[in-house]
Amino acid sequence: MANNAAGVAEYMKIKVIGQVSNEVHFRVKLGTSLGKLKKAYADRTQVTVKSLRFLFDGRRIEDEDIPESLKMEDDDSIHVYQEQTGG
Amino acid sequence: MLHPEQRLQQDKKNKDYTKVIFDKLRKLIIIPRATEIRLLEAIARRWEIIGPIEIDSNIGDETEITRALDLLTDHIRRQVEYEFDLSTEVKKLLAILHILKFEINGEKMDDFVLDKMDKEPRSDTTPSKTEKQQIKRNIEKLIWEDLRTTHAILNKKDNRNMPKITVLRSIAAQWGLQYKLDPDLDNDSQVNAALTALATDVYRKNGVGTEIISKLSMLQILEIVEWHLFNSLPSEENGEAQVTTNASHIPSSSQSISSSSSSSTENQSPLSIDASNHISDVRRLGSSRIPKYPTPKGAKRRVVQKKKVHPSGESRCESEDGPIAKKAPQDLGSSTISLQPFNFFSNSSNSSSSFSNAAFGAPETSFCYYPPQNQWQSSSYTTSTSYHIPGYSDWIFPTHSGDGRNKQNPPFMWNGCQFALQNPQVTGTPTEELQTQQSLPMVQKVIKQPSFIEAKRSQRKELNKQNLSSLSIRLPNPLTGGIFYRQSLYIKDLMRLRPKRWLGDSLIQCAIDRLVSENLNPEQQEKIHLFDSTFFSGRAGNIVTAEPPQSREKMAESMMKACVEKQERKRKIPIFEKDLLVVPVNHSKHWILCLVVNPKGAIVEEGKDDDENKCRIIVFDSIGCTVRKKDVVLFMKIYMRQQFEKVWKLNGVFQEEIIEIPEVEHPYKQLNDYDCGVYTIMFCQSIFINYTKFFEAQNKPALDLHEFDKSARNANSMTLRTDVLNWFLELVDEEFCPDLDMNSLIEMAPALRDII
Repeated sequence: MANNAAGVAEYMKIKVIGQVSNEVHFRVKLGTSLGKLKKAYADRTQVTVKSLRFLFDGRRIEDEDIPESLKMEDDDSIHVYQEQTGG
Repeated sequence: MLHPEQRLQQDKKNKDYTKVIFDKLRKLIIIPRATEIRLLEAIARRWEIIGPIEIDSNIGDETEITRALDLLTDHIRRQVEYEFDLSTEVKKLLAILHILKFEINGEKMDDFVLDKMDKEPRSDTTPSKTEKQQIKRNIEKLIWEDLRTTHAILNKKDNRNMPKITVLRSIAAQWGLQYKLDPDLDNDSQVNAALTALATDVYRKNGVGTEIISKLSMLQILEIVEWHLFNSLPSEENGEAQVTTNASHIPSSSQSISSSSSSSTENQSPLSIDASNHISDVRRLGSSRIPKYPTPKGAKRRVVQKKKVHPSGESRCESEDGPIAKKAPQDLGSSTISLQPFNFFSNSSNSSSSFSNAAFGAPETSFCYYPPQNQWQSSSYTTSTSYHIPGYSDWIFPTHSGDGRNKQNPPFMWNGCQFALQNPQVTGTPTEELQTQQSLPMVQKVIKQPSFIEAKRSQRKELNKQNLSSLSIRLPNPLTGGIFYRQSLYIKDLMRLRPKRWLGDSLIQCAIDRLVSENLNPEQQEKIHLFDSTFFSGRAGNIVTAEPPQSREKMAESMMKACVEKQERKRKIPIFEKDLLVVPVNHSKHWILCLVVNPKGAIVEEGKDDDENKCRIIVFDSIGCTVRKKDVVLFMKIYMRQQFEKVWKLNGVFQEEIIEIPEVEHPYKQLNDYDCGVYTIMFCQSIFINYTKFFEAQNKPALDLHEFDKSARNANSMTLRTDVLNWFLELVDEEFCPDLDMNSLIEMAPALRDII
């Protein structure tokens, strides 16, 4: 955690938790768009971004969201689900 | 640095071989977005294997590949004399590669052995970095050329040698933009700045947010500007395409876009030199990638063909072809523009066959630029800047247009192209034009094509359709309160509305969101909580589908642990202050809708006796599955109890027993195994359109959907789907997807199968 002079956290750690409870940790800036995080995670798991659903507090994360706008705190977790279909 | 050989050994041997072989196949068969399954499919088409490999979205990739491989190896067993060892997947693949190499290159079969693969350095499978840069530079050059020529047509004067910045400024002036030169910057940065300004303007005009500009590369921005400029070409203008046959000149370059008849050969000379520069570059690249190819007549041809398709929908080829041209008039040689290459080919009359001969015949070193795949897929801009478009890129299989050969090598049908064929405008005219000209001996000729611009326009329309893959649909931001998330729909999701497809979560959530935001007033919306569709499956999905099935008690136990996430305690959802909880549930691949009315009703406080507002859990299920209903009800009860006891710690007692679970009567009976998602949307529709009536009606012991929605009728699957699709399409910006409807969706599907 890097604190700047004003004492506000510049970076925060965010856990991304997959369906089989595998965690990936990301260190993000408060102003980073979460689209980047989504893409990074998708690249890592080799799945296309569009087939993954990222949820924070029961809401889907859109690409433009930033940790600040979602009021994320350090150590918060994002849950990832595969897209679902049904008949 | 690791030596490639060592790396090969370190990896799993089998996997690596498959990869290597696929890479080789990719080099043999040039198709856009050459995923493994698509490659196999292309091979199957080449071998005329009947019954194309159908892609079943419910089966994983691996299975598809295995299935496709089986089909292909069957063919090998039956048709090929040479005995292959087809015991494993790698060997099957190897055999396929083998045969293809024989077919295309004439390489001998037996000097190709598995061991050889080890020795081949890896680096030759992908173009090196410098080569990539070279490709990029070439493309940039070409686009600049286009930009200049388009601009020249618009201004009716030749300004091909204008400096870049002057061109851009003049365009800016035309578009009514105030653009100032910044004297501090060097030339390149000025060009870049001007381009960005122009692209921003394009986006603004199209009503798209400009923020994505910053994410685009300069090349993409350049394309956008060029594309837009091209769009502004007046439609009345009858373009003329030039077909230049020049036997003595080796670099006979013809520009499809330089359509003003004023441009004579002299004018073109600087361009020709320019183009030949590309060609030599391209050939160097191309020959390193594409193997040699025997021509039908055995004549060794030197055809360098460059085809680049870019968003302007303009396809351009530059071909350099000595020997063919000498065979004129029959082989009228290095003709150039094939707007719809496949159409010409399918009408294989004399003239058109020569046409396609030049276009297809011997792409000894043909070259297509395909950006890396991931880059392509990740682009989600509405004005897409992808280079390769399936509809035009059936340069893939070198097809001979000689009489006898046609049967052996059937036209390779690209799905997108089949689609393109249905456009009558494009199919007919150019070929006819050519036929009239056929009898004349030609050295140099200008063929007038009145429908040229029109054809381009329809091409562009096609392109727009292709761009759909990256189309995203946004709900107009529904609410100020913010309990509803903004949601994007992609064309991929809309595709799921095709007949007999299962619906995805995005569609259902988007539908619920839209219904709520359109039909309910803000106060009502405040009193609703919409759960995500992953809510149930994420927490209880594994529990209810566990093998072997668990007893209810055990289920309840594990649900208790899973149903409240740690984070939820920090940021609580005030479910007990809501009137209605909406939970779309995907329970073992079946969509149902669960509503909790009056969650507060389950809490009994002493001294208060409230009979008015009972808590009810209502489950709408189109097939009326009792097991699923029980599971969902159980989960919701446990969830509410946990919320009550662990999270909110309210006063009173939570009594599960007083929660009512009414039977539901509804007309939406699902008789197939694919419509449950559609019905789930229908349930939501009935409820939210008649929201107040629903609240009155739900208080009765048995709930009948007809009581609050009298117009609810069951219909056949197709009607329902079309209705739902049209309802979604209301949100789509027409400019980006012209005439999208169910039929076009079905037609488009094969071309977009990679993204579906």
